[in-house]
Amino acid sequence: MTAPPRPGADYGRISAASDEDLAAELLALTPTHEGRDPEQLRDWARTALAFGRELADTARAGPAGPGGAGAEVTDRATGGLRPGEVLLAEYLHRAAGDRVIVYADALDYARGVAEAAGWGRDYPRAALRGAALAHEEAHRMLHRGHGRELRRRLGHTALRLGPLRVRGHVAGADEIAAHAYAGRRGALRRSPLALTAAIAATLAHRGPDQHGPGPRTTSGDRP
Amino acid sequence: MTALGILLAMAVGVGLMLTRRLPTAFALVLLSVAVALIAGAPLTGEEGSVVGTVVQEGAPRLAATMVAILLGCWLGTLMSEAGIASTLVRKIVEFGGERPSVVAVGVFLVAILCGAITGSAPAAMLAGVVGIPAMIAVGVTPTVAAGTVLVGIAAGLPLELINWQFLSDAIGVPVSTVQHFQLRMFPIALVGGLAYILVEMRRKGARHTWAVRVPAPAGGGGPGRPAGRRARAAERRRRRGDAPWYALVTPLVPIVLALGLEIPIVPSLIAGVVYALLTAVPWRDMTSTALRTLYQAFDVAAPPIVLFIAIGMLLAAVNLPGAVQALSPVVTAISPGSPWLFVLVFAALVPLALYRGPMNIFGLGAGVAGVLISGGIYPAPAVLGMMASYGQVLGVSDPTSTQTVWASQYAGVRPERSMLSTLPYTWAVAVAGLALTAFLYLR
Repeated sequence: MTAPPRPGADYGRISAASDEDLAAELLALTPTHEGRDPEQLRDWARTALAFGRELADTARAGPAGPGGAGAEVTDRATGGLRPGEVLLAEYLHRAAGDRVIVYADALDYARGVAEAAGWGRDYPRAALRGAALAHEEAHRMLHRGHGRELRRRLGHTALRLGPLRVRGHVAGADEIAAHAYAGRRGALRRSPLALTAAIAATLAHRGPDQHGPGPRTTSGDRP
Repeated sequence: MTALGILLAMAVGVGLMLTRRLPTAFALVLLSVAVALIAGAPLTGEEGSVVGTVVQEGAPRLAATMVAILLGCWLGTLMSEAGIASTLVRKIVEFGGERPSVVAVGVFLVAILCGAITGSAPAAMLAGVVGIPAMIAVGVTPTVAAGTVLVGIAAGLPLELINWQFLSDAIGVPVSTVQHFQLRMFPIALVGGLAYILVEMRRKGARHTWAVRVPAPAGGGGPGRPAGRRARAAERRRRRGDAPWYALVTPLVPIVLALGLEIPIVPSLIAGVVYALLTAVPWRDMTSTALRTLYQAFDVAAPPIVLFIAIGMLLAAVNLPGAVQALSPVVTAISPGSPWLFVLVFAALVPLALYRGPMNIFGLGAGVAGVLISGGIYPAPAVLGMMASYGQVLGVSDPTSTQTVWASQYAGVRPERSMLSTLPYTWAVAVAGLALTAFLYLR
């Protein structure tokens, strides 16, 4: 998985789409949202985008830059290109300490996709790494308390018993907020959501993963 | 000499299964015929022959289990089609999404219910198609997400009616004896599963990524079903939305009937099917849905039914007088007598349940169990306890088990990694099960 395929028609569609469109599409693909009303998803996408941008503006005034503020940052040359998956960065929250890992091979793949789509100047290599760090920084902030505020703003009611209302978690909204945060804090000229959608298009264009979860796995055999 | 020949044939059988030169079912059929011939059985004849006893009488020996499997698969297919399992997972994510451990424990509970209905790969799909990506989306690491579904299914195994019927048929004990042991095994498996989730969540922590994966096909890519059918089923689910709350108790219906009201297994499963149809399917679609899901269930049930036909033949072969006479002295010599040694020795042999090894009850282990019982080495309930304990290991940690392969690959990790992650816990559960066996039946 070194040279990305070129699903040209998808690049054109993604280029013309707004962040809100792309975020709503991303939410629709998140498990637990199958069959959810598209307008509802769009509404949540809009709220999560606004929240991520606001979080970035607040953090910009703070002391630490993206990826900083206590998380150990590790750069790895390989490991980001897996069968059926492109992993640009990951944030690990453990009792021993928080850690952010950035994968150079996946960033190179993403750069290749950007070049193929004609967006090479919008995603310079250094800015891409900065966006990956900012993305994980956002996850870290959401994990450490801001997630509750996001849930409050999304206002999804999971259960209502008379006057009692239990707010529900919206799976994938944190991811949208993290993209918005990275887009606002980083030096990218185009949204990380567009790049994410373009990478997804290359993977879909490549076809089902030969090593991944398989329709070929035999069913029903006893243990 | 006969014993050596049979043991050699068994070793070749394990080799064929391990190297995947032959599917397990075919290898077991060949092994059955080989064991019978080595034991001196005539090719034809009414009593103790290869054709009459091993093939003709052995093939339908586990017929009751096969019917139970078909009904369990029908109920599982209905639960999938009606969105019962996915609705449960969705609710769990909505209520506990910010706390990955809570979501994992919730999916674990759903997996127990699914495991109690169908077991094996269909149960992994029921709980995992939505549960695994949902757990990963809230920050559970992929290895723990796969392991959570697997330990959940294994914790549901002691409540699985199909499994009761199988152990009853294979070991030759009444269903009530199986029930007696499995109800005591259930809390052990439950605690083991919870320990896995809570300890591993603490060790591995939460993980969030900027990652892009190949978009999953509609319906989650459930195996064994053509893409068009999956897409149509997903579209039907989308139109219907969430299953109503009273349909979510469907998995409990057969368990409550069998346990609480002591209704036999087949009618209990049929009642579960009827309840799912009445509560989760619109009236106008009821008969068409019932028929369609029943036909789909045949697809899902075919591999285990084929395997059980082969296991029936193997059980018939190792129970032939010649085989019992030859193997009994050997097995007696190596089987410990005292309860303490029983636990220690069979705890050390736990790895032999992996990779389709000789302690796998859904393979050669059925033959080993037959020899242990027919040779009078242990009482049948003790063999039942031993095999049920091993079942906890192979149902979760065996990288060749279909549910382990499916759940691991669906989570994006290698099955061997799932084995390493879960084996310390399943081994401990098996040891506890062996201790329970010794306490109940060998004192």
